[in-house]
Amino acid sequence: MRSPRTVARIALAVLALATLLPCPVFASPQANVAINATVTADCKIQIAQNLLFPDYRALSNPNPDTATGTVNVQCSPGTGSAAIIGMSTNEYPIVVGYNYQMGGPNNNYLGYDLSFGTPANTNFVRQISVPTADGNVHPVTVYGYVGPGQNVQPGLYSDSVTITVSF
Amino acid sequence: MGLLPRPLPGYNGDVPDSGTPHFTRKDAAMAFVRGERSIMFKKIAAIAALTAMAAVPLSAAAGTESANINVNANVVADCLFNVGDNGTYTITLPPYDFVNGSADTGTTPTPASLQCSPDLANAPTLSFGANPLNLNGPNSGILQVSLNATWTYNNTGASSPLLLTATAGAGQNVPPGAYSGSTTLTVNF
Repeated sequence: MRSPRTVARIALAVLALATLLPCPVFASPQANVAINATVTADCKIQIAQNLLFPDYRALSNPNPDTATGTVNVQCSPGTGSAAIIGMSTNEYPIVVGYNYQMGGPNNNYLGYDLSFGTPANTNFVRQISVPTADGNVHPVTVYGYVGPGQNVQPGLYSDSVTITVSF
Repeated sequence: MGLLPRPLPGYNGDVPDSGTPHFTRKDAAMAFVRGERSIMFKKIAAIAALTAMAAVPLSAAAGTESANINVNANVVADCLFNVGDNGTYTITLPPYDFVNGSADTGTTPTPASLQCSPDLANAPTLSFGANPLNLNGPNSGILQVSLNATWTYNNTGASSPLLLTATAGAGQNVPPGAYSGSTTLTVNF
């Protein structure tokens, strides 16, 4: 039977020996990871400026009320086909002679038309091609036209038109 | 613990795209701690053989993108005189006799009308720039007439008749001759 002191000495010796032994070295495993992705053609359309018509005087102003807005179109570079801006189906047949109308007070409507890229009061450009191959942002002017003589109740009239770019 | 990489979302440029294998260094460390070297190496080998895959279409497909553009207009109240004669209504009074005549009244020779916006909160009113109006004649003669406008607002927005009269009160002893004058008619709304 060893004395406690002897046991303590043996333990210290084992501990000292353990600290002197080399530690096992493990190499960090490595592997290659390959990443592949397919980028699909895409286009982005943003409204840079909404259409806000000046005050409309139906009776005393014989001229149309006009306003312009801006739509920015940007597509993936190298896009094979040009993007087309098309008009939405946000069109109403209530106001005769116009493709669109703004709603106002007491169910009054103010007819208007839109034309892309070209101001017009008769031949409205409903869709145009936008060059997209360069990948840059292309602003497209949207021309609004409210014909004269629509004697509707005074007030604020508004509409929201969905513009779509197809690619 | 799956060995397949997490699929990358379809990349279309709208949102950042990212993806990492599910097997991580932590997995390897835990396997080592547990003494699962064989498992660890199997997993690493599996990763080495794997190619991260993005879940994207094999071919670029056509698509559409849309945005809403707001259209706003402010329709203001408006009125319109149907003045066809260079913007002037002309009233011609009958010959005036200050001795024998009574008040002399004339009206617009053709039907006049006035049209205003529908559903106005307050009916428009009419006012003359000068009333009574002095008509100038020969030898500094002045014949005074009073003016009156009769019109009823049609809140449907349709035009309604406008009656303009000029009346020269009796007893104005002025030099004979032609007298004339003008003023403005304003519709207030």
